[in-house]
Amino acid sequence: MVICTSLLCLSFFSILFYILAGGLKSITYVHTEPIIGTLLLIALTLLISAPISVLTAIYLAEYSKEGKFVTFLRTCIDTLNSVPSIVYGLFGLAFFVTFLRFMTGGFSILSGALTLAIMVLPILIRVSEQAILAVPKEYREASLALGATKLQTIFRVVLPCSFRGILTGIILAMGRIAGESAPLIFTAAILNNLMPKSIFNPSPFLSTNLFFEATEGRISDAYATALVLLMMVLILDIITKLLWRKK
Amino acid sequence: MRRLDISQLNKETALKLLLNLMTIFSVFSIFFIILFLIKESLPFLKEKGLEMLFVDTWRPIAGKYGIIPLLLSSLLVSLLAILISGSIGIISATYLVEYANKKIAAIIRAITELLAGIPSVVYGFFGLMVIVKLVQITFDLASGETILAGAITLAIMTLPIIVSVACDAISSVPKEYREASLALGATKLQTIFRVVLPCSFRGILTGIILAFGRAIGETMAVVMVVGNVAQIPSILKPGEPITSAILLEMGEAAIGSMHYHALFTLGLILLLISLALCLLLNKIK
Repeated sequence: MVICTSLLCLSFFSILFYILAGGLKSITYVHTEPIIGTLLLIALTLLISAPISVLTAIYLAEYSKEGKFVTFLRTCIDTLNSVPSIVYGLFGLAFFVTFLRFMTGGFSILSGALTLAIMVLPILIRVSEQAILAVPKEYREASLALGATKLQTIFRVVLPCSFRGILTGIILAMGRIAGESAPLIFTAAILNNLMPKSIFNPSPFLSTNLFFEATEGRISDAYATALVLLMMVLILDIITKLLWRKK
Repeated sequence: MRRLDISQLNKETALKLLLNLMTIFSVFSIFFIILFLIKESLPFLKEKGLEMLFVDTWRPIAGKYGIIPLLLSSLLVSLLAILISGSIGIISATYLVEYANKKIAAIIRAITELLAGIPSVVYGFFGLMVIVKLVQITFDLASGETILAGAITLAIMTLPIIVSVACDAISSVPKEYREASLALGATKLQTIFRVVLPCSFRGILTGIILAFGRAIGETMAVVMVVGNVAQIPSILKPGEPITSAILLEMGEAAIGSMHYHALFTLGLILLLISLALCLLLNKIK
């Protein structure tokens, strides 16, 4: 039994140290373009999906009544979670890259961001809803008793209170976005390390670069990219855990 | 005073409209995705739909679109992965809940959660560098890129899911059951295997199905280690799961060609499998 548990820990640490060791040896192979690409992608994706998620969460938490209809809504949103990432890639290719070519510039960071925005919707909605529901009922009642409308109560009392919870969700989503590779290969990624000119152009990303470098045999580049990506995701995860615990 | 009321009322209605709109968007996304996949798969389904099930090779260049080797590879690699991670995961979870010191258990669970956050490409890279080599050396093969390597990589990736869900399931077995069993003279081991585990079976099964769904839909971790040869799979030979096929061949398929539509059909099949698993999970809960 102890052997099994230690296998568990062993795998984590071995992955961590293996990539750390290899990555630090090849630290000079780090490129900045994919890092910029990934950061731009995260920013753009969150810019699109955070407002939608928070507004949906407000609707689910404040305005909807429990019943079959709401259960149906939640099921639909949760089903998005079980869609494989490559299917998101296919959808993004068919819809954002091809169908909406005139709006997104075809193969572009924007197409990738739109695709990933749909992908992170369920996580953001669920965490935001939890955060909003965690605001004590008394705060809302006090606000309404002071004469504020429901709208004012939501935007001036409930949202500021649930801000930390929503932020936790956003940082969690950041980690997921940074790590996604398959949807980006179909919508936004290029192989060469060229700086993206705008969000309407394709760009290299850490996750897609790791895939291309590993399969093309550019091992030193791959180690460096893996190191940066792993560090980025682990730091975001640890921040999420710390924020969650403080609540 | 009245002017303020009316503008406030307008704002309320506008907000309600916005909220409804956003929710509708969130809810309809899934239907939209399914719709688009069906739309892009139809040309292939109409022309070669039946062939897909009965032709036994997948070689689009030669016009052969048999999905059986791809489907079998996906199933084999995922089932093997679940076998490995299920056993290790359930045993680890039992240890963490029943035997381990609380502090150590908390640390190990935190480590497990961090393991869950590692991107799948990183797993794939690690698999390519380490696991493929290990398989090659252990089994004396020409190349370690096999179904087994894919299964081991996927097993490490799905461990956190199983451990997490199993821990929750085992902890939720009431203390009274264990005490009653011990009072009747059973040993701790007997209690675990005859009382606790059967009680937590439903929860553990949920975890296994979740992990299986994750494994079968996983692309990056698998494509780098599994060899990608579209043949009827066997454990020590390379195979090509559905996800790898889609990823690798989309680059060659011209947009609008039959190959393109065939790949979308593969995606649709993958989506349907995932949705079916989702439904199964809901039934169990």
